[in-house]
Amino acid sequence: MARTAANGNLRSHLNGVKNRDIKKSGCHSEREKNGTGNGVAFRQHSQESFEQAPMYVAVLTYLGFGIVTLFGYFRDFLRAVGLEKCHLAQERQEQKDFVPLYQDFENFYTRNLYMRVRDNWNRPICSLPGPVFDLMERVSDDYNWTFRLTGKTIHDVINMGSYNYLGFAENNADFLKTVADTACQYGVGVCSTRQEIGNLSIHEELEQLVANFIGVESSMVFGMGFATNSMNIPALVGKGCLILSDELNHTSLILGARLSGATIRVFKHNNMHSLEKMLREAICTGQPRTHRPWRKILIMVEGIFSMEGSVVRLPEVIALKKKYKAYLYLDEAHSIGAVGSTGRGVTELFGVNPADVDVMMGTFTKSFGAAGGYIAGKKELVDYLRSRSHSAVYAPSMSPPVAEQIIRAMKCIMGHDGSTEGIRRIQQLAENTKYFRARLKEMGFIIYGNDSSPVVPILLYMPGKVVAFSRAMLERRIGVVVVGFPATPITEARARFCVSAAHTRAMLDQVLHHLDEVGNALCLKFSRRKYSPRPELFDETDFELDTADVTQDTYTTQC
Amino acid sequence: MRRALSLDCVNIYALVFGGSTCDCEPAYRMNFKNLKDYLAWLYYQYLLITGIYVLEPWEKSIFNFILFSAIAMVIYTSYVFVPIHVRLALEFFFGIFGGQPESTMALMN
Repeated sequence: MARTAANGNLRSHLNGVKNRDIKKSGCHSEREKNGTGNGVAFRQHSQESFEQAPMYVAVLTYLGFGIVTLFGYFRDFLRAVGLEKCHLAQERQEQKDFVPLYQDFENFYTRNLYMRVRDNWNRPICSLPGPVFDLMERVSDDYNWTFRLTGKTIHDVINMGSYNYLGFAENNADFLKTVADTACQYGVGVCSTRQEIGNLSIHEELEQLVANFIGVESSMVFGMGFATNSMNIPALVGKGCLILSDELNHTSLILGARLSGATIRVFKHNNMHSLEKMLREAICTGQPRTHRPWRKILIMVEGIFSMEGSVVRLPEVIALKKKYKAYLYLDEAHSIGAVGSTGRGVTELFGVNPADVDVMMGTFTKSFGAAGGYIAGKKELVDYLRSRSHSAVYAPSMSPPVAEQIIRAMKCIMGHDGSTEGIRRIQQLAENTKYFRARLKEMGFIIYGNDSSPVVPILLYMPGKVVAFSRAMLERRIGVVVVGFPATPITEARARFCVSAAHTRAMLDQVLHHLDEVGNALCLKFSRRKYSPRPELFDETDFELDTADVTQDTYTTQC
Repeated sequence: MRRALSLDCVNIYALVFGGSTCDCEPAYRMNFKNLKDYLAWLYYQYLLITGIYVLEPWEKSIFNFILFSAIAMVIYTSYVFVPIHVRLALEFFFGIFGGQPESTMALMN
């Protein structure tokens, strides 16, 4: 049971007693309409699974890491004694009494595990990273300390690692004509910041288009996606403010939060109970020592989390933010253009009004095949950022051909170029995603994330298997990205597949066929669930009723 | 055809020991023609599970040697001592149960 501070009425909570007695007549129909609409969309799009592997997998993962760590100590000992040549940087003899530079666990990990297997990362490519690409073949003679290129090229490797969701990473001369013209007209470099003489007409055009695309009043674009987060969050919050950040937020968000000087508290991934508990505690207790009320509370979430493929529970977060009068910062780096029936992102996916999200941020790197980021929202917010953002004052503005690429991609998605190419790509992506995920689950792999997210992580767990998987897939000419310890928890190493609209059904079938074989050869099919081909048979009515009730109930409090 | 790597047949031995590929039964399709291929696949699984796969060959040899010696010692010890212990245990238990009727008979007499 809970009380809202604002109006003193007794209200129920996410898992409490349903109290429908107190209703205001004026907004009765509005509440029901909002509640039902969001309830349906939310139910449809909240299918997320994070299956746990059997216990023996965790034990064997720790065993594998333990053995390699022991050998790491052994090799470090040999290097210290002098029996083996040390390839890494070392302390100078004259500085031996100083505080050591090279002794962290992470350096140990780099020296003794990453270096052994680093041929799976940073592979040089020599063509456009579209749905297929060419790799340069490289070999190592001394166990991956140094590489040499043999001069041969591996052709037509299927690309399952690029964030090419809508397939705009293309070099078709017809599509890129306007980009070439812009490069001729404006040049390539801007050499100045937005506030000095780097504010070009193409930037104004782009910002107008972005604001129309998302459905907000105004927007501002920046030259670098990472810097959009790290340089603008300090402009929005400062000391005396509270940031509630999701557990699995991207490094750019974390860096921006730390640079701002605000207090940061982390809530469990996508867990609304945890978030609500923190909000209540923050409002009741106030700032740490003085107990004054917080100047601002900012909730930071991402649309699609890139390592898990999970989608934020947007209607619930918005309901919470309205109830507790906090602000919401939504980072749609992976979800803009990739989800939603017309590619408008998670707000469209859940049927939420974009004006409800205070700060909408996104990047152009993924679905638009360009570079840079934007922040969109109310006109006052964006005007404030134009004068106070660190990026606007110190960083060069976006390059004109890049801006034109974004403009043409966005016009294509919106249909303004007169063709249905944009909507075809969005539908193709949705279909590819659904097909790929369904087939993988059927095969028996453990997949994380939401059913409508094009980011598909397949869990591999053991360090030996991660490496063997990447090499085996490359031999079959499929390029995958495998992710291990620093970016994921140490026992949850995974291979992350990014489905693209440019992948044809034949390519996906080829990838799935090879995945099947490699999965059998390496014993990667850990899933213990049985998936029937017709998922509607799963009976989840009780859970759905609860969710629908919750959504309606939390909207009740707004009337 | 410009291909740097041949795709069709990958020798399980090449997988495990590194080196050039040659025309042999592909282990990925899991139909092993002979026992040798199956054992090679089992050895590959052992390498992956213990994490030895990422180490250099001489380190693999050290680990295999240590593990093999430990297992050999366990087998030898059990061969030498387990029958004796089992025999003594059986004698002990049968001694208790077998001895009882004899003592009551002695008392009655």
